[in-house]
Amino acid sequence: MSAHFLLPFLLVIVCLGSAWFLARFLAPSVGVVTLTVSVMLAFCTTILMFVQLGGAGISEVAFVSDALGWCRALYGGDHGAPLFLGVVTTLVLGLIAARMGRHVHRVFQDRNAFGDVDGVEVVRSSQPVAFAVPGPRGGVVISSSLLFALDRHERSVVLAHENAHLRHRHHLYIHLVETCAKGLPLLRPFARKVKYLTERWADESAAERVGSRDLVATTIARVALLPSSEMRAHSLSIGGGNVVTRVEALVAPLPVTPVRVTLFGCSVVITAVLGLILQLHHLVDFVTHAGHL
Amino acid sequence: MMSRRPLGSLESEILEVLWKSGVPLTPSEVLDRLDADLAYTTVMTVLGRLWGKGLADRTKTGRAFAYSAAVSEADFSADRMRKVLDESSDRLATMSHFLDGLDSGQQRELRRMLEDLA
Repeated sequence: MSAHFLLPFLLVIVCLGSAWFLARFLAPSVGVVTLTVSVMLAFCTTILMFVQLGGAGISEVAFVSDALGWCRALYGGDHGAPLFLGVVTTLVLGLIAARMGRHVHRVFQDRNAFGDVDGVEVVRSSQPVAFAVPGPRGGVVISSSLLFALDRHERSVVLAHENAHLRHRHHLYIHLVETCAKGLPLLRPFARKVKYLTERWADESAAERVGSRDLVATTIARVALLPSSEMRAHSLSIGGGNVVTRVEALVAPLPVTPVRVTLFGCSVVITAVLGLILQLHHLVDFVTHAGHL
Repeated sequence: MMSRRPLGSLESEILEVLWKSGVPLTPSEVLDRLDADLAYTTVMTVLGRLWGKGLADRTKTGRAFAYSAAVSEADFSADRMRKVLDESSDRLATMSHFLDGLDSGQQRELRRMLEDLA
């Protein structure tokens, strides 16, 4: 396996690492976009690498080579990857496609469950729950127990938070990175980070709307501490820390993005794009060579 | 941007305005408080929907109605509310974006922060 398969991959790892590191210093909205772009580029680059490896490996088989009319003399029987690697990567690609397909299917099922939500809907439940429902109509679902536990200021925080999710279309970022992470489980921490940062984004957006970050912090803490019958049971297993760090972030001063961090961020994105272009270049190279008679 | 948005999410934007304001608001006052280019009639329609759902009260002031947020247990009779919860409370928990579960350490931490904020 030659080095040119790995170079773009290394670039992508550098890009993902820096985006992860950068997100700490960025405003949540910028962080979400940076991380989402990085994750998607990483996904595309990796998939392209697999496609090339698979193609290169499989084309070692004389039958495949002949059938496609590839010039074997040109390559001297070596297309850059051994046959077994070609077979393995092809199988892996199939697995990735299947996992992603299943995930997308599930997302659509969940969507159907609340697809008829139109506007604000109150749901009778002992769980203190509120969530945004994106879609052609769209709306917000709030449980009765949450509604009755809060005063009107806190209620407007909850709505402002959920409205921010709808307004900035956070579900698109989340679905994108989660689908990528389903295909490539190594991306899972990044998907979690994007999800967390969309919450932070909505928190800051709500703070702007109600004019007080302290009020948002108090509301989140109060909602999280409300007794709920079912959720406590499996709450320990959910990767916690979320609410606590969100409240901490709201109590801390607002993150400002210094110029040098922004410049660094731009270079990260450029690195990632370079990686992808390099990979595409390889693929085009490979295909045109392969097409040669 | 908001003017292109569907009525559904507009409804929660407007309810947010009603909850934020402590006093009843006429449609034009609501319109003033929304940072969006909306038609008066659109706001009126949405306010009417909120009233119909029991999420807003209205009183006649002059020629227009003034709306205020209303939430009372009686307004949410069981038949008006969704009955998705028995079979899909798990799904509800996973769809909730507002909170994740807490362990006891985190609960202590949050209580301490709440006291600091108060």
